[in-house]
Amino acid sequence: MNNNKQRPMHWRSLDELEQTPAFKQAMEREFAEEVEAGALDGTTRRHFLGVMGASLAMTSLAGCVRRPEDMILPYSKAPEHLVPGIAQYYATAANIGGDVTGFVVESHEGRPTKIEGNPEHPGSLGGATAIHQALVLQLYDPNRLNAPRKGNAPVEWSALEQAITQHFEGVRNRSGEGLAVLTEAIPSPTFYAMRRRILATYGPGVRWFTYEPISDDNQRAGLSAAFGRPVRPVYRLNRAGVVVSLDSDFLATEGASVANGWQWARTRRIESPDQPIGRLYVVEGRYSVTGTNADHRLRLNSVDVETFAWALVAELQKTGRAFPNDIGSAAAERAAGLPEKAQKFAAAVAEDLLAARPNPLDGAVVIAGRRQSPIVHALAAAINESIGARGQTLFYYRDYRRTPEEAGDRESIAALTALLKEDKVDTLLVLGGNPVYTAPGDLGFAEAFKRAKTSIVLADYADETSKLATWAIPRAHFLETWGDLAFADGTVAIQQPLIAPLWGAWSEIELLARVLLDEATAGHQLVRNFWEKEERAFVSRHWGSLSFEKAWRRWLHDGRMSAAYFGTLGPADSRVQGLGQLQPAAQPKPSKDALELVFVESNKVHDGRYANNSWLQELPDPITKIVWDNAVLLSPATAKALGVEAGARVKLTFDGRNVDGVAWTVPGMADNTAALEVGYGRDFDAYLPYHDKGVVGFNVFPLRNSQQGDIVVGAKLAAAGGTYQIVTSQPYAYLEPGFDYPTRAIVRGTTVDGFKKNPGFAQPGIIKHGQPPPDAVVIHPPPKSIYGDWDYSKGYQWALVIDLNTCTGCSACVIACVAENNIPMVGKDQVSRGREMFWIRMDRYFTGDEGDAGIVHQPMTCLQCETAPCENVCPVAATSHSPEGLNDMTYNRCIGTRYCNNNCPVKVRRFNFYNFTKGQAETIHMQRNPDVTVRFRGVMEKCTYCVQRINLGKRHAKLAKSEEESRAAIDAIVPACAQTCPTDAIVFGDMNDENSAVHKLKRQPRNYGVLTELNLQPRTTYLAKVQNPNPKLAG
Amino acid sequence: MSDEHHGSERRDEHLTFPEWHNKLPPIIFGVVGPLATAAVIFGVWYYFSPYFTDVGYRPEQPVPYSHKLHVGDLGMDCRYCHTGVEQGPHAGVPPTQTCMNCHSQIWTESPKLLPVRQSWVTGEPVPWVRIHKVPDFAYFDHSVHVSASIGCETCHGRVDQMIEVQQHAPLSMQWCVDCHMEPERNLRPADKVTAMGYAEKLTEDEQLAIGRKIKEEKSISPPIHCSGCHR
Repeated sequence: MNNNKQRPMHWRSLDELEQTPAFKQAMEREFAEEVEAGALDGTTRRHFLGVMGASLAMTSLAGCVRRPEDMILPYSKAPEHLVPGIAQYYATAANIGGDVTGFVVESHEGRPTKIEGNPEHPGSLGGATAIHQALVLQLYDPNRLNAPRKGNAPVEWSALEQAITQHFEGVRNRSGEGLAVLTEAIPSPTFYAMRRRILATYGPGVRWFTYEPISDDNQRAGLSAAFGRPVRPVYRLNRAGVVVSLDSDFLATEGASVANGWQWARTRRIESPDQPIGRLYVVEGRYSVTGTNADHRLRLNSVDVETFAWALVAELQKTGRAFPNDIGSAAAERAAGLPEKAQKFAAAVAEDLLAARPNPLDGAVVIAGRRQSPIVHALAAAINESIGARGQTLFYYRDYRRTPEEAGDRESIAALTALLKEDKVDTLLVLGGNPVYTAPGDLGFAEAFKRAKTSIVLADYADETSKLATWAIPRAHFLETWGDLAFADGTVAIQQPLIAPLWGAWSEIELLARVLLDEATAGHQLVRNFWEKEERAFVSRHWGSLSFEKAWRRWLHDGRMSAAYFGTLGPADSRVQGLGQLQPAAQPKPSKDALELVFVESNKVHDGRYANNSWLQELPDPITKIVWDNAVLLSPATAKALGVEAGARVKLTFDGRNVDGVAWTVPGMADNTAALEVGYGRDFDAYLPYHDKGVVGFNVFPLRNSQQGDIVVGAKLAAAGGTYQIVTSQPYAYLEPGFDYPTRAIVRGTTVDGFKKNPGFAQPGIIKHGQPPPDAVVIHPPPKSIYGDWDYSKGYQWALVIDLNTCTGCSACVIACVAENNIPMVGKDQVSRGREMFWIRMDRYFTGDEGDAGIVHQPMTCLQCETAPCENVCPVAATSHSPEGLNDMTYNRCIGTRYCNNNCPVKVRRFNFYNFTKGQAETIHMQRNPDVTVRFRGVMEKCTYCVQRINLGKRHAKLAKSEEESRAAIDAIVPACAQTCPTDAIVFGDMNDENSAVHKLKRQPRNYGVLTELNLQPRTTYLAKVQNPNPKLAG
Repeated sequence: MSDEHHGSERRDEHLTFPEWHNKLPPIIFGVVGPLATAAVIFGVWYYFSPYFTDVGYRPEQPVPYSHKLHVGDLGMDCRYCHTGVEQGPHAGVPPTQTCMNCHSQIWTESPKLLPVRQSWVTGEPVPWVRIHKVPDFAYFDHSVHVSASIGCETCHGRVDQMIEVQQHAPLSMQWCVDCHMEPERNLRPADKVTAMGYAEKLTEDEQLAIGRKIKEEKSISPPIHCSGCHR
C-alpha cells in the first residue's frame, strides 16, 4: 500500500489492483478474446457460397407463397375467467430446505411462466431470490423423472400403485417392523398430521428421520439449551439500528433472507446526511453476500467466531449487563486468545449495541450464523436478551419442524445409516432429497442404502439416490402440488397447483396417503380434509363468520392464512436460561497445514438439488463471479503460503478422506480458511446446444462428517498438478482506463461523515445539456441525434434508479430478467468468450487492499441513454429512440453488425452469436413468456425496461374507467428486476410524474449517472453508497 | 457439310448479321430492358406483397359457419362470440360452448354442425383455420384499438356480407403505420365500433371532421416508435 495514488479505488481483480502487465495488455484489447477462426472449420469457400446461394433462393421463394396454414384451437368448454392473451396470477408457496416463501405465479393459458414474491406472505414481502426465480425452469426440466421406475426400468403407474398398496399392507401386518422413513424438512401441517397417523397406525416399529444437508442443527441445539425448548428466531430488522452478524448470511442464503433483506433495507435508506441510518457488523471467515454489505467486516476464522461471541459477552458485562450464571462466569476466560484487532472490534460493537439511537432505528440485534456452534447461538440469544432485542427486533417462535425428542439432521442420518448397516431396515421410504449424494462422507451411506431390502424413493430426478432404489417415484414440483406450508412464524400458506403434473407425479402427502392405505389420495382432498375436519376448531376460531368454502378461498387468494397456526411463545417460555449442557468443541487453531474448512450452501444450486438448472449454473456467483463451477476459496495470502495459484488443481485431505478441487482466491477472506461450496460435482444433463454435458464442479460432501458440522479444522491442501479452467464473468467488459478515476468513478460512495461534509459527493462529472462542464472532466460535446431531438418534458418518461446502499448483490434480478425476457443460457465455454446473454450484469468491485477487501455491487444494464451512442451507428435503424425515453431494439431489423455494442460505453448489449435457443425440449418452450420475442442468432439484444410490462400498464391505463384508476395502472408498472428485488433497491417509474418514487429519488443528492461526461444523459441512474462506519473503529 | 458451289460473296452475306440487328441494342437497352425491369419490380412489389398474397385469403373452414347469416341477417353483435376484444390482445375465437348456447336448441341435427357437436362431446377443439395473422414479433392488441374507437370493419371489412370470412386488409407494417400516422381517417363514435357499413355512408371530409374531433376528445396518439408494437 505504498503507492496508493496509482492504485485504483475500486478494483475487480487482483491483477487490476496490482496493475500487472497481463492486466494492462488485456486492457488494450477492446474485446475479451479474438473471434475464433474455427467457427467455420470444415467449410470450404465453395461450399459456403453454395449454401448461402441456396438459402437466398429459398428465402425469395418463401416470400412468394402465403405462410403455412395455421390453426386456431379454441377451448371446447372455456375455463372460467380465462381470456386468451391475458395472464393470470395465483398465490402459492414453496419450501426449500424448511424455509418457506410465498409466491404469486404468472400463468399464460395454463402454463406457469414466472414466479414472483407475494407481498402478503411474511417470508417474501414481495421479493424473491435467484433460486426462487429459477424454480419455474425446474418445473419444465426435461430430465425430471417422468415415470415410476422399478430397478431403473420404467413401469406403469397402476403397477406402482398396486405394488405400494401390497407392500404396505404387508408392513402394516408386521406392525411397522423394519420400516424407516427419511424425509426432508417439510414444514407442512397436513404432512405432520399424516406422520402422526403413520406412527400411530403402524406401531412402534416405524423409525422416522428428517435430514437436510444444509442443517439448522446448531441453531436448534443452541436455542434449545438456552430456552429449554426448541425455538426459532424471526427477525424484524426494520427497527435494527445495529445488526451484528456472527458468520450469518442472513441477507442471502440463510432462512427468510427475502424478508430479512426487505426489512434491513429500511434501515439503509438515507435521503439527507442528517437522517439516521443503520449499521451492520459482520464477523466471518469466508466472504458472504451479507459480508459485502457490512459497514465493518471483521475477517476471523470461523472457529474463532465463538471466542468473539464470548468477548462480546465479556464486553457487555463490563457495562453491567447481566447474563445467566454459567455464561457470565465463563465469559472473561473463554474470550481469551482473541487477536487484538478482534478484541477492539468486540469492544466497539458492544458499546454500539448499547448506544442510544433515535427512533425508528432504536433497536439492535445479534444474528448467529447457521453453521456456527450451538454455543454461539446460545450466546447470541443471551446477548439479545441483555440488550432487549426480543420483542423489538427479534421474536421467538416454537420450532415445530421436529418433535422435541427428535434428533437433529446429522444425528438422524447417522442413526439411519447404523440401522441400515445392522440390516434392521426392510423398507426404506425416502421422501425427497438425495441422501446418497448429500450424506456426510464418513458414514458410507451409499453402501448402507443398498442393504435395505426394499427402498422406495420419491425423487425429482434419476439421481444418485433414486438410481439405487427398488422403486423410484416421480415427485411433483411445487407448482403441481396441493399442500400447505408454514413460515417460521407459524403462518400457513396453502399451496395450489398451477398445472397438472407434466408426466404424472406424486407429492409427499400423496405418497403418504398410499402408505396409510387411505381411500382419498388426491392432494387437494388431503389438504382440504385436514383443514376442514381435523382443524375445524382452529378454522372456526379465526374464520368463524365464514363458511369453510369462503375461508378456503380467501386463503388461496391471499396466499396465506391471516392467523398463525403454530402459536407464538409467551414471555415466560422465552427467557434465556444459560448454556445448559453445551460443551465447547475442541478445535485446533487453523494454520496453513491444518486448514479450516467451511462448508457453505451454494448461492445457486443450494445443496445440489438445482444442479440441472442452467439458469442457476450460469448465474455468476455474487462474490467470486464464477459460473458453472465451484472452487476451493482461499484468501490470496493463504494461496500464496500454500504455493497454489488461482485455477490450480488441488487435493484436499481431511480425516483420511480426500476430494479433488481447484483453488481460487477471494480477497477479504480470513487466512487459513478454505470455503467449500456444496452442491457441485453433479451431472448437468439438460440440453444446451453449446455446452458439453457432464459433471459441473467438485463434490465436497465426502469431506463432511456426521459429528462436527460445517466448520472443521485440520485439512491439508496440496497442489495436484495442472490447472483447470474456471470461468468468471467479471473480466469481461472492463471500461477503458486512462482517465482519472475519481472523476470517472463508476461506483461512487462515501461515509455518513463524508456525506455530511459534502452532500454533493456523488456529483462530480455529472453534466446536463447546455451547462458548463464541472472541473477537470473530459467533456464530450453534446451529440446531436441523427434522428432528431425528442421533447422529454411531456408524456410518460420512464426511468430507473438503483440504490447502491440497499443493493445486496444477491443477483435475484438477473434471474428474474431471464425468466421474464426469454434469455437463453450459453454454457461455460461461451461465457469464457464473453458471450453470456444476461441483460443485467451484476458488477462486483473490491475496495481497499487485498487483505481486508470490501466489496461493492453494481447492477449494470442498458442505461437507456437519452442521447444513446448505439443508435447513431446502427446502419439499419434497428435500435432507435422512443418518445418515452426508451432505447428500443427492433430484433427483426437487426442485421448483426454489432456496431452498437462497439459504441456502447457500458457494454451491456448482448449479441446472440449462435442459435442458443435451438433444439431445446418442448417443455422448456412452455416456460417462455409469450409477450416477448424469442430472439434468433445474429441479433443484438439488451434490457428493454420490460417494455412488454410498460405496454401492458399503458393498456390498463387506457382501458381504465377513471383518472385515478388510470394513474394507478401506470404506477403499477414494474420491471421484473425491480419486482423481485428483495430490498426494493431498484425503483422504476415515470419521472415526469412528480408523485412517483423515481421522480423523488432522482432529486436526491446521492443520485448520479455513470459516464455522464460522455453526455449520455442516462435514464438509469444510481444512488451512491453511503456507509456508516463506527468512528471508534476508524483507521 | 460445306457447299463448295457457292461463291465467297454469298458466304460473307451468310456470316454477316443483317443490318436491322444494329437496332437491337437500343431497343433492348432503351425499351425492352426498362419495361422488363419495371415489370419485375411491379411483379415483386405487387405479387409478393401482402396485398396480393394475403388479401382475399379465404380458406375452407371445418364448419361452414356463415357470418352473413349470423351477423348480417340475424344481427348478432360481434362481441357475443369475440369476447376478448375489449379486454385483451386477442378478440378470440369462441369456445364450442358459445356455439352450443343456441345450437343445443336449434339445428341440433344439422350435419353441417357435426364437428361442433363432436367437439362438445369429446372436448377436442374445432380446428378453425387462422386467417388474420401478424408476424410473431409484432404485438397487436385488440382492446386498445377498440377502446380508441377503431371499427371492426376498418380492418376486417364487411364481415356481415361474408359467407366465408376472408382477409380484408393486408396487415402489412405500412398499412399499420398509415393509420397510426393519420388515425382520424378511421376513428368513429364509440357506439359505432361494431357497426357494419358505417364508413361507406360518409364522405371523406365528413369522416375527417368526425375523426379529428374524436382524436381530440380521446387524445389519441398512436405509437409510431418501434417498441409500440415490437418487443
